[in-house]
Amino acid sequence: MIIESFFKKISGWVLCLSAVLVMAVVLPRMFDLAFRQGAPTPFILYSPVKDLFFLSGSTPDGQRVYRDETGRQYDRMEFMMATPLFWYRNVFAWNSMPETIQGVLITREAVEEGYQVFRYRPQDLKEPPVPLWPLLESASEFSDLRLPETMFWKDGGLVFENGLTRKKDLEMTEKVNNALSEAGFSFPVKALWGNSTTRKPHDDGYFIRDAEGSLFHLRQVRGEPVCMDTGIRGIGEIRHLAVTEDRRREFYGYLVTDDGRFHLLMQENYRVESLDLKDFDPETMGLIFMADLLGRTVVYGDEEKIYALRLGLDYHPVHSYEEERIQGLSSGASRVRSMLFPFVVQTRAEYGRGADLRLDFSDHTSFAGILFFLVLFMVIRKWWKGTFFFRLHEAALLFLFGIYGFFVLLVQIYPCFEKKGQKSLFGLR
Amino acid sequence: MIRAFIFKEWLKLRWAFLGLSLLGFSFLLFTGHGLYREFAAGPAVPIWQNLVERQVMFFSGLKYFGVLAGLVTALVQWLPDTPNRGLRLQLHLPFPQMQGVGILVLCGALTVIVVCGLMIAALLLITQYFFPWPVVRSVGLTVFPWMLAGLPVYAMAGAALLDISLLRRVIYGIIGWQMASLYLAGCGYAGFEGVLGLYGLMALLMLFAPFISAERFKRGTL
Repeated sequence: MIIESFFKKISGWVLCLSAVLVMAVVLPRMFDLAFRQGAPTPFILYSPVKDLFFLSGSTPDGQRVYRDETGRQYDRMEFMMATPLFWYRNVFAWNSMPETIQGVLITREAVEEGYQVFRYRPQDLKEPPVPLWPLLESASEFSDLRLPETMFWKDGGLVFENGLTRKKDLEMTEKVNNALSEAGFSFPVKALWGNSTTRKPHDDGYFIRDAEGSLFHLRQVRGEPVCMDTGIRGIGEIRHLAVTEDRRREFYGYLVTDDGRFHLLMQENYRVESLDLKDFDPETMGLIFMADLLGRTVVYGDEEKIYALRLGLDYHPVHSYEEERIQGLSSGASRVRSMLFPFVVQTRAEYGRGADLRLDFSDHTSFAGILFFLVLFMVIRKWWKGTFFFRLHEAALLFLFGIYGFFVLLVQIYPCFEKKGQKSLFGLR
Repeated sequence: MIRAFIFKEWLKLRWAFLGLSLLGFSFLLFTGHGLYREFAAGPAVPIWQNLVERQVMFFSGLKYFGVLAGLVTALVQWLPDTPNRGLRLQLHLPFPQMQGVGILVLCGALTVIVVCGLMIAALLLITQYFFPWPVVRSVGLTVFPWMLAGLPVYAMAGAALLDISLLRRVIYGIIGWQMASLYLAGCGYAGFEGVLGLYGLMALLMLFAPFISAERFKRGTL
């Protein structure tokens, strides 16, 4: 009898909680869809001609707007002419490129050679979903990069598998792991970063973190694995490293450390150039790095704020700008959302790839919402059943789940389920 | 009595089991043949690299197999017994009612688990023939939540079929559909890594859903 009763009770609660779960996923999404406002992220460029940041964006009604940081508006052509080192193809085609900017002679070759853009997104912090890499030739005699016959993965050391024989390539595995050992590498491999594509101008190999936290650089030079200790110390634990492999060959890429700082890994003696980015949070903020002939521009931000920083060629700040963004919900809608939904079930990993299953609790205003639905339920109960009387599970549902519990109870006490004897939607009695 | 229950369920479910297995294996045969042709045409590394770089899912046709397995199993198991209230006879046998329902649900759930488990095993076998270990692991982690979706679908379809109120059937249907969509969210390769345990537990708990509907079915009241 106890087992019978247990099955019924657990069945009722499973149905009830699954309804709460589904509502806690779907209802906040519907609310956001209805009330979310704001324009797409503006694209920010630095104008070396006017020494101002220029923004290209859209209004919430979809109209394109070009303006500078002071709010003055421009048309598209004026915007491009003000930022000629980014739109150099158009500006050269119009024969409108100034002969000199900031005293530097501007030629098409010089502009092209100085141009580099890369982007960082918070989801880059996660490991690649399929951790398999090719060791490309870094000193190739050919103009294009060719895929090798093997690919490798990390399993303590590096393990190579031959694509022709479909067997482990023991010779290559031993050669590479010996090269790592000779460079002073402490096994096991803790993390490995690199750019496995062949669609890049050259290959800079892979960066590998060993058991002691040291960073090593592995490349294949004329068919032989070459490994070097970068000697990078004292910047904290490296959380993410991206190899950018640009024709400029100024840096290998960028790295993010566990203290949230953003650094460039320069090609000159593996020097680390730490950028002083105010309020930068790699967990939530995206970043665009743009290099041009006259300096570097870093733009980063999240849904609430966007920051732009202009750096000189020596990476010292020259100019900065920040702007609040009207994004997401208005403050009124945000307060209503907090009141309505005491928590939201997030099934997508925040700012990253993949799935999740976590509760995001609202702030203290959700108590007002819970109280409101409690009173509302009492009124409805009095109206339909003539009593304010609460059962324990009803109180628990309302106090714990707010609006979600209210809807569950509403369908439970709905008159059509109350006509005859033992019945309720979720069977909770 | 328990043996009789299981035998009765086996009589109903064997064709569903066979049909789903044939369907799944046909698809896997087709996939395996496609991979064989692709790998026979040239070296393997460009294909591996293409999978890594573009996140190509050669097995994406299996995405809704778990849902299909759950739905077909629920329909085959409960539909013959509900229109003429045949199940009420079983629920009035001198055997604890909820334990009887438990055996029925277990039989259905095991059918879904075994069919989906066979598909995962066969897919991994094919994958490990053509790809290195990291790909096999990622494929397993990708396909597992898709198959798990079969359990909430089976449970909520069962609850909806057993229930006698139209409104409840609709609500249970919506819950089942939304629960399945959580497992099928397009999260790319190994997107559920780290939360598979939670989703698995949730899928197993959902199997308790049909009990209360069976109780209502027995009483024949709202």
